[in-house]
Amino acid sequence: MADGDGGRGVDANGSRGAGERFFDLLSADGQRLAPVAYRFLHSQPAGEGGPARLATSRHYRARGYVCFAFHKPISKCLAGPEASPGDDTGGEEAERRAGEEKAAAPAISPRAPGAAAFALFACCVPVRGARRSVICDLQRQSLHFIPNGLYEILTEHRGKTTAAVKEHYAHEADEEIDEYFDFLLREELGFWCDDPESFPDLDLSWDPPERITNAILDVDAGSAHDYPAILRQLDDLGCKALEARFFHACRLGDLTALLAAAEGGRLRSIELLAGWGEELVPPALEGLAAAYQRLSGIVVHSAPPWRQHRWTVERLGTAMEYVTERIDSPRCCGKIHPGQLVVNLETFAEARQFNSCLNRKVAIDARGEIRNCPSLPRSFGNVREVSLHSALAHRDFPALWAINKDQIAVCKDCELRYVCTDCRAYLSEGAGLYSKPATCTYDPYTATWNPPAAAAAAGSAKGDTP
Amino acid sequence: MKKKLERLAGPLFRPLAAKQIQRTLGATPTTIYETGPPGSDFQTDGEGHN
Repeated sequence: MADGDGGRGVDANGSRGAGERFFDLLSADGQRLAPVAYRFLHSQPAGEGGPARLATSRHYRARGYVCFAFHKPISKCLAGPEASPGDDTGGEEAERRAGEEKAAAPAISPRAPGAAAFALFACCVPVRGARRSVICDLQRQSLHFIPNGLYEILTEHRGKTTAAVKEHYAHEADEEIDEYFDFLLREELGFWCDDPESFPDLDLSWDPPERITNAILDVDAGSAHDYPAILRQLDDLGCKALEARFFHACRLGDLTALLAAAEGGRLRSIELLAGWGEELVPPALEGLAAAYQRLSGIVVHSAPPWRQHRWTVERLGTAMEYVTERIDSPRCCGKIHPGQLVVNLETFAEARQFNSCLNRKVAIDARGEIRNCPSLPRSFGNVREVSLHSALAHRDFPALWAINKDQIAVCKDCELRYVCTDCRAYLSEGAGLYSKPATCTYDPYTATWNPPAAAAAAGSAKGDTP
Repeated sequence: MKKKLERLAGPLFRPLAAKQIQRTLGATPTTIYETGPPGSDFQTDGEGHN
């Protein structure tokens, strides 16, 4: 720990803030580790008094049942908000919000203490893009866009003192470098230290024990799925999360049939996408959530406009939403937009090595065909005749799992490549298997989100479902 | 000649707007915490006293 203000929350005038008072409560060893521990114990940016709560609060206790939502979107059927050119960076609203947060945050001097070097917290991982970079805060699940110059400072000049960094830039960018470190401290992305080598990177290897982590089950009015048999097989494979997509107008009984079959099983999360039916009123949905607590979210599609609403059942943490979009087939899937970005350790680590959509996924379409994804054309047999085990054992089933974002054209230059979920079913026209998803509207070379229509016109569906 | 470093105030480095990043389905792990008094079996908290 450096002798200076590293992480202690001392403002520019040298007055003692909440951080300093917190440090006074710690032993010498505690003070040395505090920047790391402080960061990990706080799930949200701390305001005045925040750090002090650490020393006095008791841990909350889980109720015994931990509701669990899968760490990334299982499918991508819902469109994002309308994006317009120039709206990609949040515009005035985001700027105002950032300004308010900056004003509310305790002032921290950007001056480096002595010969200290700056270290990012291990959970804050920089990713370089073609036009800009991003720091993915895997703990607080947030993104911070940064210039590529700052990325270079954090990576190529890692462990160097501020003086050495400024020297490298021939003192032509001293103001910018000070601004960078001020920003990093203000956003609590890192800290000053004398021994940056004592703070190793996170282990981002990804190898969970489950053969399958997530599954899609499509249902339409003509489906005749044997839910208990399918769910039993998913349990055997260790599947944690299921998204069931009902394309038709549903009755409550359609949903309870599936949920009841999952009772006592190993699934930890079930997400439902159901077509609007008169029985799917809010009290009925909340009743489902109360009765089947592994239900993590319900989206009712094709709902009348006056039904549009989004809320969370506070007591249960179940997300509910009525949308007017008509989602009547797998062709509605593959929509990539900022609303689908997910910043967390699991997704990030998985996406660095594997395909962020298809890896460890199995899908059963409305006719019972087993596929990597319901939108992909290849079937590995019908679930009524072939077990999921057998389908997975097919040599080609995991072939797409290994296509990670670093292998995909355009995506490999995108700073968001480890926080977005890929799509291998709908690809850019005339390109190969390693081309950018057709519905992605983001251009990493200009760092702009283009209107969805323009991107859709540039792409075509590779996959289709019979 | 060294590369010029960009200022953070540029439009490219603003955070995404809230309306852009709203989640579609529950993609964030949700843990339900007990906020009331803990059960009697948790009263000691391993601290060696009642």
